[in-house]
Amino acid sequence: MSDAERVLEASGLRVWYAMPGRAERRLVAVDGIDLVVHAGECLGLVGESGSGKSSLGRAVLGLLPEGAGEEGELRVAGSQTIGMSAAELQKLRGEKVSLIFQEPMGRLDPLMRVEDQFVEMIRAHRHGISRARARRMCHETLASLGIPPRRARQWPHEFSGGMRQRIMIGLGIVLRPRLVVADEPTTALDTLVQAQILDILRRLADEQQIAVLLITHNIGAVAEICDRVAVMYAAKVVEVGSVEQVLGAPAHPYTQGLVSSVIHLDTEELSSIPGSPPDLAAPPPGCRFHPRCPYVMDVCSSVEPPAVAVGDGAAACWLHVPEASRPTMAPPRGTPP
Amino acid sequence: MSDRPKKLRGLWASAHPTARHIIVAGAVITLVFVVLALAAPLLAPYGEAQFQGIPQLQAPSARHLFGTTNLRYDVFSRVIFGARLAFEVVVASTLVAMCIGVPLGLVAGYSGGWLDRILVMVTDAMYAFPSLLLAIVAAFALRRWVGQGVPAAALSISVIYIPQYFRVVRNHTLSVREEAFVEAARALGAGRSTTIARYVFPNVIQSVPVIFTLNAADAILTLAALGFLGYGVHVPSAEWGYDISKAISDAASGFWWTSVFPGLAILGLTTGLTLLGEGINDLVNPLLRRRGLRRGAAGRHAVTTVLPEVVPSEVAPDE
Amino acid sequence: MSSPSFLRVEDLRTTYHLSGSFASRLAGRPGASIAAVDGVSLTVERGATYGVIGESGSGKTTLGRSILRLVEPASGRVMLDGLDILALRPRDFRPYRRRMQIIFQDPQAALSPAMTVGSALSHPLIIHGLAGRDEARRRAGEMLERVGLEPAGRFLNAYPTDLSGGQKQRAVIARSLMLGPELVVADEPVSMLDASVRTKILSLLADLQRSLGLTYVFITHDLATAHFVCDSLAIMYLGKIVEQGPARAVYAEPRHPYTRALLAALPRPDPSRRPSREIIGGEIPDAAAPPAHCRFHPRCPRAFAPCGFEARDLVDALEARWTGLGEEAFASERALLGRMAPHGRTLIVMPGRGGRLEDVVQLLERLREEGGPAFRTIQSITSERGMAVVEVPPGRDPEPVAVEGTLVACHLYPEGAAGSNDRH
Repeated sequence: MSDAERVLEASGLRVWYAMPGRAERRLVAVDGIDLVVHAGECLGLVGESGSGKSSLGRAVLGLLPEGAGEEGELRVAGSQTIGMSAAELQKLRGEKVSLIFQEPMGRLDPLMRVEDQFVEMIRAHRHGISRARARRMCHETLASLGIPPRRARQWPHEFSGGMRQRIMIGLGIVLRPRLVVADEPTTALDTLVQAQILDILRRLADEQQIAVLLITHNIGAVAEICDRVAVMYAAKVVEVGSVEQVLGAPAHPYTQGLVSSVIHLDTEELSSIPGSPPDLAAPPPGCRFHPRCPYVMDVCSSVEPPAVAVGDGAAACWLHVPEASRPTMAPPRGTPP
Repeated sequence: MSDRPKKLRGLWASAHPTARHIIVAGAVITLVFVVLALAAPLLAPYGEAQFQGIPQLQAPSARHLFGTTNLRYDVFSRVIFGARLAFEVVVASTLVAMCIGVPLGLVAGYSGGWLDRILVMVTDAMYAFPSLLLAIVAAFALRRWVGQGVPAAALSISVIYIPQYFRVVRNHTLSVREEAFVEAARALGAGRSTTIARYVFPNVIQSVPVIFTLNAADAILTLAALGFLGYGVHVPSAEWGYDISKAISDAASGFWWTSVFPGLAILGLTTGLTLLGEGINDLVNPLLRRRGLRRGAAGRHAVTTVLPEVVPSEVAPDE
Repeated sequence: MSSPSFLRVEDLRTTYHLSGSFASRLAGRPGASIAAVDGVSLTVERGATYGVIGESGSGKTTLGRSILRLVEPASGRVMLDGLDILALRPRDFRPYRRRMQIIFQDPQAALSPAMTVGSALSHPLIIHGLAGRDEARRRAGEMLERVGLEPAGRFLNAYPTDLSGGQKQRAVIARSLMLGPELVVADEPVSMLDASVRTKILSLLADLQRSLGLTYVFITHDLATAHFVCDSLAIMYLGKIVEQGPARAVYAEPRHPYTRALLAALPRPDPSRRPSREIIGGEIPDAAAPPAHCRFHPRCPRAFAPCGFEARDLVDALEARWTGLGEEAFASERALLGRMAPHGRTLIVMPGRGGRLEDVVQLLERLREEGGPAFRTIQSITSERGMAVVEVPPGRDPEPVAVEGTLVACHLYPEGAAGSNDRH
């Protein structure tokens, strides 16, 4: 896996929004994270609401709202995207990177036939391609997603929710992107349809060597189709690793709490994490999870833990740093040494 | 721990400077006229219909800032008293329009069915009428019962605006009606009137102030037009439109001050109210707000005033 | 058990009317009517949690609202402690609202943004004249503390937008309990909440059930949560219950193919096993024109003749088949079959350009042998006046049959026979 090409590579990525009215305050939604997704791999980005995962997804596609800022390194298919002009980003989207949203109806143009939307998009990115060829690409893609090509001439509203989501996916993959970012692609869908869509995403990675970044709060979905998973909490990545490791034997206390709280058929007892996620505008000092952590130590409340290698991944937790290497607490001012 | 002041402050803070300028400008202008209206007897150097001791058709001077009319009225005083009349009529008419239009809109929107259909038909018909014509017809019809003067003018003008309030409130009610909390009210056993009064109305009322100021601006113009045509004004009350109609012949003879100053007053107050209304609309309407954001260089470190989609609660803490 | 069950629903039907297109209204034809709840019967014991599981369009939400008379059913009975509340006049029913309440899915939408939490909670008491303003407020404060919103003083004056998702849902729960109900319909109470908040709310609901002796009708699409929470449950599909019974029994031995599909679709959080599972294709059909007889049959991997196939199902099956075929195979089959006209249970196929009738018949015969469940039900293929005529046999409505403690409405479990030889 590590030999495969790195389609998405983020290093020290920060994304922020300014708070209205308070020009100096910033809400940092993604605070210095590193992330890698290889070709043919499916990486799950898990977090609760307010963790910053959606902002990360938008940053990857250059789709941050007007006025948000980003800094750090963000390479998509080899190109550094921070600092790209709007035109360059537009070219990047659809060709190299695609985004699949949560509510597909809102993103499809209700006034254009499905086929026409494909053709328009294809021709916008591949100059000189004929309509006939574009139509063929559209039909091939739709067929691979289980939509009869003859329905391509229909209007979006004539399709059900699950089919619209597939059309969205189709629009996202017809130009053979290197990376697909799926932001909660199954939340608004029925159970059986969710399974179908997740299956499609997995096949994209397996059959077409597309890198898939699945952003979701649904851990079950990640367990089903992802190879690796990164866990986000309060704008930071607290743990990353293979799905077997992170979900089977989580190293970070937050991940442990999160995984235990998921209800599945074998659940005997409900468990939850006490407290609630912090306000991103004023996060706690040190490790951001420390107010809720059952294993909190003194150092956790003052110094941010580094990412430490654990198994095939890493976790940002002082528990995994040998005691000798942990910073000692400086005595409070005024007290004699 | 009310959320309302916070929301207003938030809106103000996130507003584009242009929107803020507009509101402030509109507010200042309107305030000037409000002061004139409220303190008319104190500020006006002469009586509203005073003609003793006043020379005829004198140009603006130190003693008569805006000059005098053919009938020996002091134009400056007439303008000030005209402001008072304008506010009286406008406030009365918009209040009447609101008190009729809003409840009808609520009931029509919530009940649906034939009541809704009839009311919509009637108000659409009223809406389709050219507004000035409607006011004239109303003034003419009311003359028999209410005579001339402020009540007549107010009622005639209110007729024009009833459909607007009705329509806005009805449409908003239609969508609020489908909300879960309205269903919750029913589940709790609330009767229809209770549901409308306590659950629907408070959530619909926010749409009203926006059209209120714009209505007021329009009402000034309508009042002036009515006065110009001789309707709704009890002579010799000071009314800007009426004064202008009386000043038509003066203009031909070169006496400009009898028509220009009332005209400027109309223009001024209407502009002030319109600016205020548009500014508030800008503030409250999110789509317009976004248009006002500036874009920094190439997507980097842009100056911003936008709320991110996911903002954790500031009341934070315990679950 | 001599005492009547606490809640008993008998053959409940609730319909919605679509207004129809403009043209059809002009022509005087009324729009279609959809039976969102189509003949549902169930029984809930006092103090139990009864689950209603289904996807969108299953009718589960409408069922919940029908029981509470938030939407008026067209026919059937809802017996609360032996009394048919549907038979009451609205005026007489109103006091009964105090005994049955609802918790909504979206806590954001369930609270009026213009009312403080305190007023929202006190208002039910005031509506029913159970307390004055101050007393109502005091009781609201008590209820807030009971659901974990402490200190009550802070929350009484808060507006919904000041609260987080979990806090809002607690407020919604508190409000629903103010009138002291015995039955609470919980409509997807946790599906819009994050994972760890979800478990907290579920724990709260369990505590409240114990301390207040509540009976829950728990509506959800999540089989995993239902497994944990429910004593008995019903699986709904397009307005009908396909399987119901004690939760343990249904999960241990799911019988209806739809139930099995739902269980198979559950994401398994243990990533060490990732079996290739059979994923059911297709989607929930249009409720205005549901499939005949067994509504699940177009998607069912084990459907056979009595399930109710029609000509339109054959057309859909052909479409599905062609979508999966390679280019050439598709092209040749498509060219061979020209226009297709479905009429009820008869499908008329005209040969395509350059195709011969014999080839069409041959293709159809081949499909009958090798094609999916739909083709296998073909009763006859004849040629008539240059066209191929395909007939499928009539089906029957599957009736709920008791099989070892659960009720299943599926032809795989026919009435009478404890086991059937049709099962393959």
